[in-house]
Amino acid sequence: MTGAADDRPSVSLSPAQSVLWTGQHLAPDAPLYNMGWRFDLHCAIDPHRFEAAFEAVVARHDALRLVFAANASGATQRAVDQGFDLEVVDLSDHADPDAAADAWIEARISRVFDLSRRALDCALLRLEPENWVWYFNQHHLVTDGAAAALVFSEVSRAYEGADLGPAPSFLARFEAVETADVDAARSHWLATAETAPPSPLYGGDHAETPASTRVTVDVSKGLRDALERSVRDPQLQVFTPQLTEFALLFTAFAAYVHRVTGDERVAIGAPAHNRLTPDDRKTMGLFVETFPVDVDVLPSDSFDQLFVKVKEALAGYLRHARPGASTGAAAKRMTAVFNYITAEFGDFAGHPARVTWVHPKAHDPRHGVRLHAMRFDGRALSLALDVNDALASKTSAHDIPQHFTAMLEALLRDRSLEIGAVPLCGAQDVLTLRQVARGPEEADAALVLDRIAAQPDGAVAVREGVETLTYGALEARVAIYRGHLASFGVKPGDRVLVHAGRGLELVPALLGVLSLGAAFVPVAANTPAARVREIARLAQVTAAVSDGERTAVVQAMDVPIVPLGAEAGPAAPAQWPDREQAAYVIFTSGSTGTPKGVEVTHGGLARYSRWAAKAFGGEHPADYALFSSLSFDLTITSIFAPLTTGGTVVVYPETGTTDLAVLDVFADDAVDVVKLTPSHLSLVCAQNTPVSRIRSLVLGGENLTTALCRKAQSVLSPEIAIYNEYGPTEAVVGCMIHRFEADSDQGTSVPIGRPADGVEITVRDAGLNVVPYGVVGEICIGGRLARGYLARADLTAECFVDDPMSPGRTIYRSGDLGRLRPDGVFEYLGRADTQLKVGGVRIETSEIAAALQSVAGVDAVHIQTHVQRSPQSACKTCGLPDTYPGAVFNSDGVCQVCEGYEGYRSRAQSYFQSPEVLAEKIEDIASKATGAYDLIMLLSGGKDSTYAAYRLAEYGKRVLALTLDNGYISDGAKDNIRRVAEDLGWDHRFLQTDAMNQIFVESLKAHSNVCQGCFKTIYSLALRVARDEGVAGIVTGLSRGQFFETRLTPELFVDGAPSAAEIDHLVDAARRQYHAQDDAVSRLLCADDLRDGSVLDHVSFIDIYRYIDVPVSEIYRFLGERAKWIRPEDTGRSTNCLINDVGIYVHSKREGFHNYALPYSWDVRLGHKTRDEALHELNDEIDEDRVVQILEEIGFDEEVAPARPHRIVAYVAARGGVSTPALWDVLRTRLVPEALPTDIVVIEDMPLTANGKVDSARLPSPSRDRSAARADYRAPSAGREAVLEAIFCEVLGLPRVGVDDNFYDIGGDSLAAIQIAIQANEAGLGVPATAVFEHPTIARLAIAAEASGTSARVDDTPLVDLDDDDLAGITRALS
Amino acid sequence: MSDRTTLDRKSKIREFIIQKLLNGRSVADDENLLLSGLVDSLGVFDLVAFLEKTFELTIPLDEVVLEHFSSIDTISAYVASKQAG
Repeated sequence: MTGAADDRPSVSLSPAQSVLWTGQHLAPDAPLYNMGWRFDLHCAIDPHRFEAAFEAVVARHDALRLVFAANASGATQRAVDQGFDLEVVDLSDHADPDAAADAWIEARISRVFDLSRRALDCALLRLEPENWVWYFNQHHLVTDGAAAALVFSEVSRAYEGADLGPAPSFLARFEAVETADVDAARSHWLATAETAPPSPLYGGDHAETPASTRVTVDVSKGLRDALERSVRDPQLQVFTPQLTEFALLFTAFAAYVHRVTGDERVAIGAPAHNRLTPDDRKTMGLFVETFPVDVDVLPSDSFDQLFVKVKEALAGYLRHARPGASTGAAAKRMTAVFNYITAEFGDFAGHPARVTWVHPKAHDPRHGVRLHAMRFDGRALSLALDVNDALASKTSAHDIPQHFTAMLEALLRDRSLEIGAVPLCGAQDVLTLRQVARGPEEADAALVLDRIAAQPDGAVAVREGVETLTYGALEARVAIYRGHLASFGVKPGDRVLVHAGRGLELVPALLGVLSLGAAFVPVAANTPAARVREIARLAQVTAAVSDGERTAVVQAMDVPIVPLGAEAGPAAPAQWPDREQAAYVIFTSGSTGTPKGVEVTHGGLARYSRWAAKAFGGEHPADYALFSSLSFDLTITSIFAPLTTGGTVVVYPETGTTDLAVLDVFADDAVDVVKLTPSHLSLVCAQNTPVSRIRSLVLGGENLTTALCRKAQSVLSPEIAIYNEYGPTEAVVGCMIHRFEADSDQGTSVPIGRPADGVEITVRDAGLNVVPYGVVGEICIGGRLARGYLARADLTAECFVDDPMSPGRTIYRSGDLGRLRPDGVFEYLGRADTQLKVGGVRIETSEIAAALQSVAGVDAVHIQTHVQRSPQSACKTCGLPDTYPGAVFNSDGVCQVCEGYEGYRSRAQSYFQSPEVLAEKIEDIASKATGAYDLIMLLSGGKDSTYAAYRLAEYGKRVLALTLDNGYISDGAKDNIRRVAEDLGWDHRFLQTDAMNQIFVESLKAHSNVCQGCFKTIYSLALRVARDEGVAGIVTGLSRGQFFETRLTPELFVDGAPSAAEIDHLVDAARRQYHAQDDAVSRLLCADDLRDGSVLDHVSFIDIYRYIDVPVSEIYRFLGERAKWIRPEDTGRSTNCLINDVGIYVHSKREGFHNYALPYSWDVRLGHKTRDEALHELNDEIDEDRVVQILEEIGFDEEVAPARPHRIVAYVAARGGVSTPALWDVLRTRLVPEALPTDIVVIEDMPLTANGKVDSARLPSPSRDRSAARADYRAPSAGREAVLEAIFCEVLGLPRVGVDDNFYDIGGDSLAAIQIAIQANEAGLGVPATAVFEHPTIARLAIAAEASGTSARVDDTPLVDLDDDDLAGITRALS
Repeated sequence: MSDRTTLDRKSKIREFIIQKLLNGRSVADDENLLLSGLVDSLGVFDLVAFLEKTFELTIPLDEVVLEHFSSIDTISAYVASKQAG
């Protein structure tokens, strides 16, 4: 025995060893780092000679004699002298010695090393006299692939008796590492580690077990050849052929990992061999270190695009893969490993040998899969995958290699393919998945009318309070409605509007329509008239059924009406409906604002009703509550499931404008089944009242959390069954179901379960290929679908598509994300278009919700996300970018603002008036002048105001022109202004304020722009000049686009056409409030003199473009030919103001979109700019250096960039109040920092739509300066103040409002002001619609109400926000 | 630029490659280091780190390409062009 290393001191572990030591420590009983080899030696072996050779090799290398001792900070290692008794096992007696050797090795390799004694194992197995197996295993701490090859060749040479020469020491080698280089590299890896934790592969829990299975990846000859061709392809060359092959395989693997995690940034570990010098290559021990290669992968990337990114990523990886730079932090991020090994083992003592790397049936559990690309001894490439056993459940175990090879094949076949559309599953895989996807078979269901007719005549079919209809009576009522409708000419295939409140008669009316083979179009009672008209128009109804209160609205539509409760009239025979004809058409609020009608067939309704009755009521007669909105397809269940089984529909009428019938249902507790939304259930649970009769809840319409289910079971009844029903209207109410089980449903959301009878559910990729188990994709539904969208063939073709996997069959693309668990249960993961990714990793907002839900006192939680990103597309008509908040495009790529404008442009025309009116106004104002000037004109120097000035000059008045010199007006613009004023013979003044820079800063802080501050300054200063000069009117050059942007907003026109006087009144009220507001600008301008609004009693405004309509070409022509106006060249864009860029820059950074996005879109809409011009200006480069310089000049002291590129707002409804710091504490302990919300907003009640879903449009936006200017809190007194406080809180979404708090300071806007006025009126406080503008605090409003002589109606019903549609009706109250 | 500077630069590069990457094995200035397998991709980045430190350069990743790093001659020419720029 040579080499006396025993006296060497212990040394600490290398960084790479430390990472392994930690990994082993976490799984002490798993052989996860055993590096075992089977060498088949095809020659006679002398065991003694072999033992001597082996011992000699062990003796010369310290790395082969290392032992480890744990200490407080990890471990130390030292080399010891120790003998080795070679174990020789004779297997030649076995029938199959080869198999016996495998079995022996399999058992042996799973032994865990006692590292304090030895880190290697070696044995000789005799299979035949000239056929031996050398088994050799080391702990990875002391070896790597190259070291194993070195052991093999040295033992071989020693066996032959060769002199091996000196051996370099492993321990000495890593002392020589240059620390400066390593530190730099390590800080690189630490920096990249600061990112969101990656998603597990296949949604599995691979972190839970180290057990794994190695699967050979079949590489066909064709694939191998294709790979070799690509490696030689000059376009793909990277450095060396080996690196090219590495990069190609890596590209396929990265694409694969992206697809099976859903992450758009993947971190794949790649071992770097780190043997840089020939000496290193002769040194035993662990040199390999694994570093992550970070690649951004988008589903829309082609392989070519990804290959480029991979090359860049590899270059970055190679640069920082310095020996000794490993860190545990970097190791944690790798969920997959790509191991590219080339090693030369060679012959054994001149005889052929075969090398097999033996898998120890375990690997680091952080890695879902590890792909090994191996070239041993120059042989052909072979691929193997180690698959964590948690992923290898069910059928996917051996399908996983197929998923990778699918990517590799696609890459090598056509590099232009989109990664997100490559089919991952093989044929067998698809068969299995589709088997799981299919609900139970169903026979043709009898039509609902037949099933209703089959119920016993005497049983109660419908009940409302004490009034009932038996099935027999129902039949008779149905016949009466049928008779009336038929007399109006309703025939099979027609549509009939049903617009009525919920009542006993509603049910026979609906059935009456069906019994003619026609379709009903249900519209809830509280729907605004304009929307009812729109739906009737789109549906082209032949007739209508309505009740008393609704008749007036329907009468205006020129369709015959059957009143609810009609007396018997002409008789008509029932028509047998065609199963394929529509039974009902439900209109959903398309995201574009135009309602779209989903046509559901008689056959579809029959099938759904039968399934629902079976699933929720066990096919026994069950009573259901009819309490939800008639417009919502959730309500279909509550009508047809009971009627088709002989149960009773128990009707709960609307409770008022705010429909709280759901509370009556639970207070009454008189039905078996209630179908409702999770938001409704939250509301019910907040009442804290148990139930005894209600035994089943069916939840639909929104994501359902397990927390809410637990709460429902604890509040309502522990026995209550809770079903989560999933299904878009387009798939007939519901197509999946899951019964909540408290024990097994431990996730944050309740799964959506399994397919309904006759339905096929699949999860698909961008190419509509079925994706494997656990992979996130779009939920696609087949089997029981609506016919499509009424008269919207384009939209139908987009969403109801031919299934590429079974041509001829239609599937509906839901736009919902989901995945299929290995147990055959589907999970819902939110809408595809609102998903949030941080660092490429999807954030599960349901986890935030679940954490908040766990806090005592929290009634409901809603998470709203807004992602900042760069614009991907813009409206085809106006150029509004998709980054504009709430921008939604229709299938033609047109934004909803354009669509909405088309709907009200003609009605908005009433605001514009003739030049004659202008002449009158000018005369009127001039006549009131008491000083040297008749009028004041605000002359900005831009084209609009300059042209307006020339037009104003035509009236020959004495005009004083004013311009705000904010310190950044361009010289070119100033010259224009002076020339124009001189040309017109007007006096001109530049207005200034010392506070201008502070105003900019405040404006940037509060609004992320500079314009808001400038505007208020101009108006304030100009009003003072008008007052001091005795002028009664100020003329502006506001453009028509600005009118639409700020005044003629769509809400105003949703339902009706306010008159010019009404709009004027609103504008005036808003203007008074604007100046009354005590904001930073007012304070900086010491504008107390303007706050009481008395100036505005004497000075009015004239917007010249309200009276004249001029095409922009005419403006330019005029300015070019007649005016002394030259387009400024020194601002770089169409503005006069050099600080404008600062506003644009800050706004883009902080708010995520250009602050001119909306104004420009209006310019385009009104023909004042082309779309291209608008887009060009929106994309202008900003000179950032100049921006930074100006920010310094004006003294802006905040960071410009937002901390994060996305915004998550958590809304917490807590009627009893809840402490916000407590909510933050809970979140911080339960969530990773990346998933924390940006803001938490506590509100009293969650605003709900008429359908009972959270109405996200009406949630208050968290305002930066909301609390800044808040007055000292003073509680309301009982009576008017208390009633008003409740209304303020509800409308503004605040937990409390002090009676002196200014409405605007606490986040109010003009829409909210009108809402408050309406609600105050409803509560019996008579105030005009504009009252809040005039009396912006609760205290003042209460006094105003008192003056009007009304008293508050005391009402203890909890207030819930009005729904969206009611809001739309607000303007009706104005007219 | 004098021949002396060129020689000096080249000899520094040669010394690093021979001593550090090749353990004393001699190599001709125009011998292809990469395609012959004498230096692999990790070795190249070791060399990049050395060049950056020795010649006070910053070598962007997109310049670490075959034509700059194939032989001692090309490496030296590349370094010269960086120093000139």
